[in-house]
Amino acid sequence: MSIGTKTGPGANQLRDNGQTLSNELYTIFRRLRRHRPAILGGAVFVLLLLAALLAPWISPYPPNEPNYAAALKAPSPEHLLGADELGRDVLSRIIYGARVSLQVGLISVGIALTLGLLLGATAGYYGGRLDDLIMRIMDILLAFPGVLLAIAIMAVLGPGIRNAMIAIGIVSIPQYARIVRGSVLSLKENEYIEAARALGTSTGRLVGRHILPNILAPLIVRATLGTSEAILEAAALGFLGLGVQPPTAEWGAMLSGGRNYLYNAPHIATFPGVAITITVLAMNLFGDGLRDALDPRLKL
Amino acid sequence: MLQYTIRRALLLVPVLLGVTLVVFLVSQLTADPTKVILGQHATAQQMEALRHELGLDKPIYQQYGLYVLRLLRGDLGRSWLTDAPVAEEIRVRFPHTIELTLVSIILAVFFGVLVGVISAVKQYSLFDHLSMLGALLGVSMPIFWLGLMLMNLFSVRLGWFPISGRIDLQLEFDFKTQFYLLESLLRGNWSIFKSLLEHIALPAVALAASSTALIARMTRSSVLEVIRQDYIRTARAKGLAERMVIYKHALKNALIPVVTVIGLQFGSLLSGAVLTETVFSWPGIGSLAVAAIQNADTPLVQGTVLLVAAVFVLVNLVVDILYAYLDPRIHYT
Repeated sequence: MSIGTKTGPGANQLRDNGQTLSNELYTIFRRLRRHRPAILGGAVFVLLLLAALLAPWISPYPPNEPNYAAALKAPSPEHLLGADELGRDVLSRIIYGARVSLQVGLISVGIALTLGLLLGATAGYYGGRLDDLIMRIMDILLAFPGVLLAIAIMAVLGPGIRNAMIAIGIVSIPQYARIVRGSVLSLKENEYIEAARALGTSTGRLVGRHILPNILAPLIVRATLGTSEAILEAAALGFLGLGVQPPTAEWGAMLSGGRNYLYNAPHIATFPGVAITITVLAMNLFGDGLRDALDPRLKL
Repeated sequence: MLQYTIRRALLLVPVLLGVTLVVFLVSQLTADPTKVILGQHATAQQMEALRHELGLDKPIYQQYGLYVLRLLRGDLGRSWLTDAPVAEEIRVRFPHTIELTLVSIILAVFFGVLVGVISAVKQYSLFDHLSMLGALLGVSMPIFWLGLMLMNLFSVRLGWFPISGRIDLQLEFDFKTQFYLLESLLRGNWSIFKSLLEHIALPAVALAASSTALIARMTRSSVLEVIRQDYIRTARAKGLAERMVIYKHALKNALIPVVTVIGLQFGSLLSGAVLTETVFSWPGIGSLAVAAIQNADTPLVQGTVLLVAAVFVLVNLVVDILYAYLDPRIHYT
């Protein structure tokens, strides 16, 4: 009997898996809907995403155009959040800055998630020396405090948005690899996995169709919270002058530029920080709610 | 227990070796030392001679071997910029970071545990809601922004605290060590101690914020879990005062997982110190590392990153051992 046909027991297993998965998704969605802070966080995040996408249409001024007459102006009807030292509109720059922060946050988590998944699944599935090797490398990466390692990697790669994504991505790989490895290790012992293996299912398919759906919950939660951490780290790199280079608007770099004007124009340093805090807070609220909805026992 | 400790300590050796390898490889890929040291206008001959002198003409595995051997002798090399020994620079700067981190961790543990316990005991009260909201804000704020906002409010506007730096430079005091705060306290020089406290207050609060928030959240959930246990009901049933139940029975067990969080916070505090020190011009190892990276001063980058990673790994080891010691349910095999 071949596994590929619809009549085989393997196919039944898959269909069952598919059904329970959609049932489960529905339950999760219902639980999430009742979690008000999570809904609030999710809504704020969607708004930020929209603002970033629509930046050219909704921002009142071009983000990089100096207007020396308005330099250091406090918030007013013309410039709702004031103007910076070159007279550029702070609100417009914050809206454009959302593009950078969200991009870095999402893409760096994508990098970490993909590599962490590959490495963690390989280590957990094959075990033995390969497992030892991969996890020792993860231990070594974990031996560095996050921001410091990201800074050191940026020193090698040079400043810029793409390198910031890579640096933050690399730093976060171990978190995902550890979760995946642990789950794969415990799942591997289940009878249905053994049954699928006995039927000759290929390793890739086994991991993709039978193991992965079962470890999605902790991974999604980790990725949501990881995005907020990545946004904070990106802002830190920008603040230290290692992120996106001027004149591109980036929240951390804007804050750093405002440092010198704390006395005359504190709004320059204040508002980008508010933007970062709101974004990270929204992601954290959503992530917390998602964790409770997916599995109240999860502790991440 | 002793066996467990020894085994865990031995496991550190490969990790630390790996750390040196990462640091070594990272710095191999950074700026060309001959350009940093000799400047743009050096002749090819001068560059060749310098490469030979620095051992850069040897194969890379030999360079790494020599690097590890030098490390074992405590030789961290010399700064490419100032030619000062890196070990000496670190010796001068590190105590400032230690004092800042310690004051922060004391603040974080004290307020974190206090707020967490009160929140748990008075679950769903106004205090609970407000403090958990505050905790959520605490972990969501960028530390350098919080630092700037504290500086703006308390130094620039209100003038209560100095804007930045370590100590009022007009004060004269002959420090024997770099642990200024501790030394002035031990020698009983109160005016110096007061100035030091005023300078450390804002950076320490900024640095402690996110750790305080995390410890408060962890303590709260841990206490909540423990006070639902049977032995707490027993303690109440036998007529113990509520206070005794919380402090004698609940807290002791609830704080075990908190210890781990506190240990892990050391790492984030060291990371945070890099940013806080930059904001407040604190003369510690964090601002040294940032300056070294900006100047492409590789030996100094290597030294600072290596030191921070080593301290981080060691603290984690101590926490793990402490955890096993505190929780008798953990089998150290």
